[in-house]
Amino acid sequence: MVSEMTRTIRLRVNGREHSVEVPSRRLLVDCLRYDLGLTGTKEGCSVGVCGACTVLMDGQPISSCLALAVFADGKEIVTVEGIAPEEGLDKVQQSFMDHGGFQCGSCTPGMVVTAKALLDENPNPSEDEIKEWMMGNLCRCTGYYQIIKSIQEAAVEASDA
Amino acid sequence: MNFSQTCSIASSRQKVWDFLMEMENVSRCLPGVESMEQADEDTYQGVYKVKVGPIALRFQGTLQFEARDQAEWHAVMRAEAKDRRLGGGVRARLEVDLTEQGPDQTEMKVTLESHVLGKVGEFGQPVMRKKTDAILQEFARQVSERLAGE
Amino acid sequence: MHNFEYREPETLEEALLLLGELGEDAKVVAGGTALVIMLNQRLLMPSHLISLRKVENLQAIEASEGDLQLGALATHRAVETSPLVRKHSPVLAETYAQVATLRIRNMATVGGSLAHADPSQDSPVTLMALDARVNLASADGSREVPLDKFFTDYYETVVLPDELITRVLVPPAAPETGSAYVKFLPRSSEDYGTVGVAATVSVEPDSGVCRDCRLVVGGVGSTPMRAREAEDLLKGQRSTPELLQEVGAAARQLTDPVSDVRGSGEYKRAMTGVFVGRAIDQAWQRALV
Repeated sequence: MVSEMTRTIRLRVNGREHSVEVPSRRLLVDCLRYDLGLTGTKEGCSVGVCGACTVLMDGQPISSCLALAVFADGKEIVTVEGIAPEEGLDKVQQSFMDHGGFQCGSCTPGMVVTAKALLDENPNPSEDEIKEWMMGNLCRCTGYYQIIKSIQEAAVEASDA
Repeated sequence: MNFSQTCSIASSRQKVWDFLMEMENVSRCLPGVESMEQADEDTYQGVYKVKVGPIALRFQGTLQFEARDQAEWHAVMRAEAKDRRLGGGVRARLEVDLTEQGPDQTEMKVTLESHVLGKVGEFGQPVMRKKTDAILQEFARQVSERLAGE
Repeated sequence: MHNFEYREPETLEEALLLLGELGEDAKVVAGGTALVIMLNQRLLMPSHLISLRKVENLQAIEASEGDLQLGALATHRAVETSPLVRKHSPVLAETYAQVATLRIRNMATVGGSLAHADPSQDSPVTLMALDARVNLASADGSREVPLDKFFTDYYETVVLPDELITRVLVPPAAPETGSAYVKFLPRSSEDYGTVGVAATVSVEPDSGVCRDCRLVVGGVGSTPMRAREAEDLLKGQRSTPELLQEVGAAARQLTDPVSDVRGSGEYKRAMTGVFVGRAIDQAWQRALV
């Protein structure tokens, strides 16, 4: 009988299919970082508060430090490595660079992934809508204004395109 | 954390004192005692289980009589126990005072000073407080019931 | 984290069977936001995890015979954004929207949250004020428990070891009723509130006099508190600042708050008075519209 203490999960990460054998207790953040080598996602607080570990599961932002890897079986995951298109950078990423949206970079993968999810759902958010959506992502460096600006400008960029 | 519980027992002061001086009786009145063995005259070793919501705690440790002053009807016990699995423990000092209310009526006052340490203590002070209060209440009730009319 | 066997039943029957077989060694997981933290900290070390994530028919949000039915596995985000919820009980959508962060709301479920039973949570307060009921299933059948009988202590409910929450039922609001949930959140935005108050006020259509009301306070005891004695003060009255103060004071008396990081017992008591007034005022205004 197959042991239920490990499981082979099938998940699609950044558009690529993966089959991974994980112990039941494996967290999604650890599966992404260690089993799949995608170290862009960071673990900050381990309790789902800081947002550094944010990934998209079926398009929705979740805390990968609170999700078991087995939860991702059959799902579509997007990490920061999956934000950029084939060539160059996504508008959100370029905008963060152009408008000082990061300093040390620890919170940035989470910020970028969360911001991308916002603009996918609401391409033209108001400042209040940006703040509301991004509220759960913490930054110790920037003071947030540049992050909000980066997202606003990315939205403008996208609408001009 | 400090707790206090007072109750009236339908029994003579001597009977209540004798009852409490037998650790077997005390452990029977404490809900959650899994085992209790005498190590020497004043020391006992035991295991105590208590559930806090979904979390099961299992404390292993010692209970010691620090003072037994029959003349003053005053006893002091110290307890020290650890939950090895969770990484935490408890240190407590229990004082019992008996006051005669009548030939067959005694007031028992139990005062508890406890410190919950480590992870178990971090979990939630209000929860621990409520639990301890409930345990003490049950203890007083059990002593009262077992001695009623003796 | 301690390892465990992960089981993913696909029907309620299968899940209940597993629960019966595995007993105390197993923990049930839905969204995982509370459970995984406890597993990480080794506060819980079950030998099995029974996941409800793939059980059919537990996620739906639908209306049935006037009641709003929230499936146990519906996420907070689903409730927050559901057009059906916004129409049937807008205060419920508003309440679920205030929980933690977007990420947590995308995972945490209606049923999981109730089973966790932290007395500082938002949704139980509003659900109680709306006279919601919880449906509990076991291998022998099912039963319904009103929310005000559901919580027994910190992290403890009436759910038996062989039972699972399947759905929450919210009755339709009486006519001429307004509802509000006010969360006092002096610390960071993703935190539990210091106190939370839900109020519903039903009025006489012409005079605006209160005909009926419900008042529930969260964060001030070991379970959410239904403030019946305070409710009685409102019935038959018109809304005045004095009345709101009086009701606030009455509610304060009923609280038993413990001092913790979110405020001293005294502070929580004082804030109960303030926020009860605000919640009732808001609910009353909405009733008069």
